[in-house]
Amino acid sequence: MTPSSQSSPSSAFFRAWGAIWLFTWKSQLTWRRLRWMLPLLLLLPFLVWKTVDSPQMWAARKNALPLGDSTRQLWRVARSMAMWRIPLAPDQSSQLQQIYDEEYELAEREYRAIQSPETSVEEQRALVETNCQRIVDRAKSVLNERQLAQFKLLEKGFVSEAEDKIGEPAWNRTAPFYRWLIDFYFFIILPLCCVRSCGGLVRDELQTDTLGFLTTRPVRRGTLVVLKYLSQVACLEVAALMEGLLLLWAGALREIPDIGSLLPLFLAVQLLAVPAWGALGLFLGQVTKRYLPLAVVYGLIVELGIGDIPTNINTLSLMRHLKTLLSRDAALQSLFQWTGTGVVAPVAALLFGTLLFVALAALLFTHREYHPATEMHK
Amino acid sequence: MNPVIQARELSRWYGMVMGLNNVTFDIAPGLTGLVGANGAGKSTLLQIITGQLQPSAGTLTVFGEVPWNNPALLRRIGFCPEREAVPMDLRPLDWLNGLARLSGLDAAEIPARCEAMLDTVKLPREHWSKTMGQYSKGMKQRVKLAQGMLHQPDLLVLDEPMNGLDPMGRQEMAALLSDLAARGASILISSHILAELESLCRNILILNWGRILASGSQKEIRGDLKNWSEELSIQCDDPEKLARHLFDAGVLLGFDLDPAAGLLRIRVKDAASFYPAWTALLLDSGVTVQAIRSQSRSLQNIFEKVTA
Repeated sequence: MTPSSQSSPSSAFFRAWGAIWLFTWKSQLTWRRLRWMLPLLLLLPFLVWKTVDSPQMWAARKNALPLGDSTRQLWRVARSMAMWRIPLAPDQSSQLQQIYDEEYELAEREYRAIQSPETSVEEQRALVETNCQRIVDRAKSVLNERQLAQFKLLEKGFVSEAEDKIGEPAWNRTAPFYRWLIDFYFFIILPLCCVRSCGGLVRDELQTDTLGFLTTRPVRRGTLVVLKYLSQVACLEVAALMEGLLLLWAGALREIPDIGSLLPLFLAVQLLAVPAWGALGLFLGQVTKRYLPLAVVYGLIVELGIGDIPTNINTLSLMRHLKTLLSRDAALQSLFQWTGTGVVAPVAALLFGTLLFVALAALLFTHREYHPATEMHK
Repeated sequence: MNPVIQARELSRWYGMVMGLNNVTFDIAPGLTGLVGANGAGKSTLLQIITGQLQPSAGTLTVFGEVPWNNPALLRRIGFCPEREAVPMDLRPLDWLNGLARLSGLDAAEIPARCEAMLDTVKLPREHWSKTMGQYSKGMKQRVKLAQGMLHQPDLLVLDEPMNGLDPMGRQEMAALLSDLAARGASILISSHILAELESLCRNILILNWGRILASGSQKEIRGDLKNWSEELSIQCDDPEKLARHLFDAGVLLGFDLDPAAGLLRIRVKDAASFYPAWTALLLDSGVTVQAIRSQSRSLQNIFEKVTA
């Protein structure tokens, strides 16, 4: 038998891809690896499920507006009035106590009437402000002019305090879910996993000293590195798809609203993110064996630094384009307040970035030697 | 006959360290042994030949072409590296299957070809279903050799192929390589076990500290050595008498005596004139000879003389 020299370049490419595909999958799908990979895949969805409240749990814990206790409020008013030398008379105190009790109860009733786990911050603020206005209106018949003026100031302060509490993330039940999904998984774990997997494509072979078996085969070095990248990205896409589905499922178990509409958008953006982060890792892996620290530095400078500069230079950030695409989901947009619009431009930018990094990596591998002894001791 | 490998003023350095220092040589078709101590530059040379490294200066061609990033040429070269490393999570047939595809072999014939290769290197079939991480050093060595021969290369480059093999395995490997060479393949073997190369290779390339000290057939190298002297070890009943007789005849450069063991070791001035007169000299001495062994014809001896 002789090598099939008549085969076309494209068939040779696909045959070689078949080989690299086989190596990648056969070495990934071993019991030894699966034993720790499966629990890792389940860990994050479990944390999401554990830390995000269901509507029932949330309602039990957050069943009141942050108005505080009516008796304590009256005590604070009485103390302040005394300090300003316009103390409340006993009958004024008892009447104000009654007003507070009634209005707080009314506000809570109104709140429960409109309350859903996702009652917006604006709705809650409106309720608090209306409640305050009603108390001030009723207090006009109880307090004298000087007392009323001070009382209005005090109430304004109470409203402000209550609104601050409403603004705290804990007030939005869905926020922790999105923080896990986007901040932690999508912008930390996923990029790191992709960079680690693709950065190690050549480095790990150097470490185990098996690269020579591939580079002595009749395949161009650049082609070899591209084939390894494609096979690894396919593996990563499957793993990321599983993880993404598990996370969204954990969200669905916690009855996060509109998760069905988020699912296709999230998976589509992830489909673009994995090759982009993988290409970055592949390139950094060709540059140095310390590609992970370099990736972290890159992330801090380009993704978090340059990406946040409000000029066109921020288009260098892959993360920015991913955020632009994700901002099409209303819940994400309202929580993260991302700027940037459009679909075509960010998709094109991500694809361009991916191709650029892969091309640079292939170019480096074509012209640079990777000698185990010298490379691993640099 | 055209040389398989040609190197001209070839140098390779790693920073300040010289791997190969301005070497020029030709390697003819057939079995060639590459001899050198650790750090002599053997692995560097083999990696340049197989396109894993580029020369820092000078040129090296295999079948007239530069190996670096040259798929057409690499199709004609098989390589078995020295290191023990193989993909630990793969089974040998999966690995060979993938490498065969990378080598451009016809997909339909690959499974049978891989099995035949494992049979050829005598890897027991009961181990084929295990991942290579569970293999002994000798078994890994056999699989590595199989992957090198998989695509029937015109040039097979083997870096310490006998490492880890038991004596039986070494014998089988030697027979296999001789058979391959007889069928027209060129084989370049690096080894520090000189006795193996001696019986296997007609041609030798001796490297030391990145320089080529000698190249050619063992006979040619011996002929080229100015300080070459034949060394014989003679077991006889009176070594002292035999030594005196040979010394008087003026054929010796020197000798060592071991009367208790009845052993005389001699170094001969001129082998060409000594051997024709050798029988007569022994008869004239009147000494009874039990055994004669040549010490100087071993590759070990050549290596020591060349590197001295």
